[in-house]
Amino acid sequence: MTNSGHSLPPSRDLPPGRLSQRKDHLLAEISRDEPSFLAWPKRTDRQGPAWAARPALIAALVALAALLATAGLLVTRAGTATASAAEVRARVTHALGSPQNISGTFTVQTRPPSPAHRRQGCFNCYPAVPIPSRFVIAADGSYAQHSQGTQRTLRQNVNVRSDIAYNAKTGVQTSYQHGSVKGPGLYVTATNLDPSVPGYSPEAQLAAFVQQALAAKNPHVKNTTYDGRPAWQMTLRFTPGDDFYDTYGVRVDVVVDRATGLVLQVTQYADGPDRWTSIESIHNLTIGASANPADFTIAKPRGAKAISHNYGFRRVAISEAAGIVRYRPLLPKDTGGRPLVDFAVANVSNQSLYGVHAPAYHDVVSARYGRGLGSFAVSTRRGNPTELPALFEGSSARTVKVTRGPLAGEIAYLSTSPPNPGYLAASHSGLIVQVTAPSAHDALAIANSLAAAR
Amino acid sequence: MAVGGTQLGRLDINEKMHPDDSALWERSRAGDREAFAVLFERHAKTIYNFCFRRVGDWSVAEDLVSVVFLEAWRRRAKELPPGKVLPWLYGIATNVVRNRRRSERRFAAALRRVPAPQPSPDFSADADTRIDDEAQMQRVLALLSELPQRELDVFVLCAWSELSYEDASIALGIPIGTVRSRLARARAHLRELGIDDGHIEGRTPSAQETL
Repeated sequence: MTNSGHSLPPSRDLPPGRLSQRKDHLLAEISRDEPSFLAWPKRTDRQGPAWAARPALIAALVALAALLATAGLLVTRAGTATASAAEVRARVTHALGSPQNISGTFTVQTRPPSPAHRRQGCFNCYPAVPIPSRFVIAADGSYAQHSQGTQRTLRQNVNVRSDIAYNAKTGVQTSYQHGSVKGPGLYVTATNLDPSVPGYSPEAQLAAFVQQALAAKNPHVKNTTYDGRPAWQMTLRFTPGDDFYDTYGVRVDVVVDRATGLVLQVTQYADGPDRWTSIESIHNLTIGASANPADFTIAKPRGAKAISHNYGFRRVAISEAAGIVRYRPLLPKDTGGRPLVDFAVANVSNQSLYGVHAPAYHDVVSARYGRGLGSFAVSTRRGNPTELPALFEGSSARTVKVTRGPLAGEIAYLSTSPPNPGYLAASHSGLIVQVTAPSAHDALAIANSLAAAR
Repeated sequence: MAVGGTQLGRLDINEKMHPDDSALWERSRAGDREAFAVLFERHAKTIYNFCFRRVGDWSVAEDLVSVVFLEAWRRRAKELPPGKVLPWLYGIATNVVRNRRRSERRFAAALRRVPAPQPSPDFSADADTRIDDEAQMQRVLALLSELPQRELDVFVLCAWSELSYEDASIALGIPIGTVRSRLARARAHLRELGIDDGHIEGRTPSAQETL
């Protein structure tokens, strides 16, 4: 063969004007509410009934349908669409990045590593009885959780009750605890809260783990049903050395709702792959439930001991903050599109509560961006580097170097503990800087994007 | 996280003005159509030429570019390793070409809505050149028709589009070792067929322009 006969034609641009035409067309197509290509089109070009023209094909389809129906009965699974782990993770992320009203029942069921009566010196020799919590989470960040039940101990049965609610409109958190300590129940009204402290969300807790785990693992996804809803089920296996192993054990099963992407169940196998040790479940899931403002305030029960606690934060404009705390607060330049939803400062924030002493924080500036699991918070306060290790007490951390912005060159601690995936703390010029984000990657990126606010 | 976790921290002005493919893909995954349109502008020509080299027809290649990006949008939940958007698009393009009739049927309604080409003053000269291209490409494809489909896919990606073994493995969803062995087999087959693979591999200056 000759070169002229078989060489490749040169690369060419699209014909003049066609690139922009095709781009406009693409934008128009993907902007449709229900693009036609998301579903297969129905065939309309047949002459006469299809079954008459293609008997062999119809027979094959009938046989296939019978086979699938039989298989469906055998495995009792719903649906046919499967997904990859990455797709499930993206679905979970999308669901939680879209604030919506969610209600349901959250149950944590635990089982000790070995039967209770064989354990040495057990305090509570009866298996713990799960006490379900009813919860409501509103799109505006309000939440409420109620749990009530009986705990069986060696000596007696104890009625316990635990309620907590936060009204995002008033910024007031109310809670009631009864039965866990001697004496009357404790009713607490907390005001002027720190925006950087995350709110209650069992769904977010479960999803935070699932997101992290699916980023590290690539499990096979199976279809299943859960509470009658089509769902995905995955099994994640961990080995010593995994970040997840110490916290979650050798195996975790995850169930994700297919319609909403919400995580419905996480089952842990701490000791061996065949014996579960913890099941966290959400049942009775309702999406878009109407929420009454009264749902987000706990009424004081009769006889309860009432305590008011003022965390000392004031909502002010960013421009006022430096005048109040006497330093320019560090805030992210790039928020990834998340709006600033809460910003507050406190000259003194008292952390002692329920008679437990904790040091007060001074000259605190806290900001939260976005809502739901996709949100992140940045907080600065006066402090010195020796305080940093204590912030990670009970969890593992690694050190990283911040490369840009005012913290450039500073060593930061970054949590490697899966329940706190995106927590970073650093010290700079007499300040403690803390970032709480959905992931470690995000936390470091935010630390790199900080700048002194005016 | 829902909205572009990788976007955070990108303070560099140049990166903000010209975000990399991964940042654009993250934004696309979060539903940002404009970000996806930027990816289209950036890679349409590459995919256009790739499709042409698989089908030997510029008009068909143009439609296939639309199909590839519509398919990419449909599959935008896909999480991609950093810097691997283009290899993934090559993978979609390979599948679209391989299942061309099926792909065109899926996107038939969308393709019907493509606007008619605008009149161009130098259309005839351009058309003549493109007709020559098509004849030339058809001859090359006829030679390569002897190759098994799997080997052809690897050969076109590695030899013509000059993807690395790693990128080809991402595009085709196969291990790197399989890419290596299929490429070796493809070259051996070409030699058995008496085809000068060194030339057909696109080591001419013109083939370099595709990159």
